[in-house]
Amino acid sequence: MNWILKADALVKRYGDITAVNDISFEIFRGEIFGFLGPNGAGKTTTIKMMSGLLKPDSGKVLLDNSNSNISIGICPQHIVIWENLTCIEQILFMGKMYNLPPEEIKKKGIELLEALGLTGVKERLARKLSGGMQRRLNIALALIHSPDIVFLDEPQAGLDPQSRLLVREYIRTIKNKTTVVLTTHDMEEAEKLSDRICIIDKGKLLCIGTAGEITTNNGFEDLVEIDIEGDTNKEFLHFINKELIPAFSISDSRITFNSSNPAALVENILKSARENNLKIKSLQMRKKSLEDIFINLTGRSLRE
Amino acid sequence: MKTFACFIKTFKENLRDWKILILAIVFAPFFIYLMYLYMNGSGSAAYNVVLINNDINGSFSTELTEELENLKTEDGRFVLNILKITDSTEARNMIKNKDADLLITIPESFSSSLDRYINSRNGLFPTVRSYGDQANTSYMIAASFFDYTLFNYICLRTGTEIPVSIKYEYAGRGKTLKEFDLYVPALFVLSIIMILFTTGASIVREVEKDTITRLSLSKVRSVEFMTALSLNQIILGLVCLLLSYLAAISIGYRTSGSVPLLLLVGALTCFSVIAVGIITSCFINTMFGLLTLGCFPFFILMFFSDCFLPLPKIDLFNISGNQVYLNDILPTATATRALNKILNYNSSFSDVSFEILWIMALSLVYYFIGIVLFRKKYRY
Repeated sequence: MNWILKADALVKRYGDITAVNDISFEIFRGEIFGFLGPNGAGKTTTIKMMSGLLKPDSGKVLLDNSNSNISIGICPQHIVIWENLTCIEQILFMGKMYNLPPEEIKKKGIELLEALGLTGVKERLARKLSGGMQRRLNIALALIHSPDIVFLDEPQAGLDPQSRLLVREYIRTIKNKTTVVLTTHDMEEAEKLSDRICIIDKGKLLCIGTAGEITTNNGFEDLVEIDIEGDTNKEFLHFINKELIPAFSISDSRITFNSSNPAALVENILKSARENNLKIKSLQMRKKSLEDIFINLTGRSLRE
Repeated sequence: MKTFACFIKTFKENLRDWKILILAIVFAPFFIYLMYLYMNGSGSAAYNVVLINNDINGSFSTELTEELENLKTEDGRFVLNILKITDSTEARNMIKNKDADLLITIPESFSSSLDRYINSRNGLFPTVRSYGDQANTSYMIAASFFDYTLFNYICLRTGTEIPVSIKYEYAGRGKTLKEFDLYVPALFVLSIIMILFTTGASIVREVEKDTITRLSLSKVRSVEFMTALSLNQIILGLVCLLLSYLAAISIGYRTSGSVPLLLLVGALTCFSVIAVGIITSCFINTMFGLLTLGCFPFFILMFFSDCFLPLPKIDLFNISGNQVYLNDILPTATATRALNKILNYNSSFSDVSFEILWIMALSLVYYFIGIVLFRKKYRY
């Protein structure tokens, strides 16, 4: 695939803190690129460098050579709108700032307002809009010039379920024309929307690929959870540990472990349980979610 | 196209952010009315004089008191407010508390001594005491009026003539300039200085809301944005100036100075204040910061521009016979001088050409500094 943007060994330091530490990846044309990480991981700093708002200390950002006029749109995580202009006024204004022809501005403006559910309030001053509407306007302003690549930094934060759905569907509709870089803390959303996902933490890139690739390449197996009625006994645990699964965790009466072939193990576990007079209350096997993987990679400690 | 769009956008925002707009527009006319009222509603200050007349039954002291009470300016306004009291301690306290500008004490022997002199051309003159605070400029002025009246009265009554005569001639328009008239140019400049806040607000608003990022990502250049902003502020500055002009006219201020020249100097002064506003906004990120820290450059422009306080003139250099003083590095100082020449002395374009060129040069320097700082701070 053709890349539209390439981050090459990006580094950014603020005093003693290295916000972004030697990050490299490519973003392909027309994809939705989920860019994930905990708070303070370096996402926003990386986005600022990729959009040209911040100069890296070292490394570089390359744009697709085949098109020297790549336009960039950015929807920051905080709401960036002109409070004393109406929705339509700011849409038209931004269109003019991008040198778009008046007819195109009008057409695109109407389309955006319609798509993001703002038509009914287009003449309302932005400061009088609800928080959700302001956030949708924030997105509209990033897209008025139909950019080749748009950075949506947590675009759905603070939106109600209806608005999230609206925004999600709109993002899907633009992906053919516009490459989308999406940051979000909503793993389910990221998994649903993104063609590829990149997880970073503490300024370092941890993994990149499709959701499936991330699971496979990083050895993330299916998750098995067994709830035992009463206490487990030593013999049973010894059996599991020695014969079946060297690495497992036990909490109260729940045993948890990962396996690439859980079905084969389950039969032996049930047999051993019976032999040890243990009653199994429940047994669950599930694919690891992106959130599980995210927590696995980035740890459980709270971030600033 | 983009400059025009930015102009319209900023114009609408200014109109809708009416609190700062009202502050900017109303402040100077309000100050003009306030200053007028402070000057007793007459355009000239009436000086407060306390008078202790120890010559209780003396006809001459009574006559002198009447002369002082009836002392008028050319256009018929009273100059001195005479308050007659008997307690000298109370009178001195009034001077100390600035309730009065001048204390006159007429001695007990005033009439008898004067009578004796008229009849015999002999004897000692009585001592009339004048008391006041030297640091109070009103004292000096009131004392001068009193001296003038006293000497004239004595000369009249004794038939004495001073062997020299004084002819009073007035600068400017051939009529007496009232004290208020001298403040008017400064008040006009003050009305323009107020756009420092609206200029700052127009930039800080973009910074505070981070919309400056949107603009910097778009294809509008900082020069286009600044041009639009400056045009808006020049219009606003001229509106402030015209409202101040109308306020001054409404309370009797008259000038035959050139209005186009007034507007030209006004527009250039706006440009210079905008430049200072841009520089100020480069050190401030919030509206709160603007309304607090922004007062610092505002007061510097206000007080060091000869607007209200007479400042010592510190020579810097001379250009073609035009002396440049230290406070002339503030364009508003030169603007005050230029407006004073235009409004009060009917000066023509050639009379103020140096001031106009000087304001232009300073404005360009400040504007350049402002743009450089702005681009450096916002990478835009």
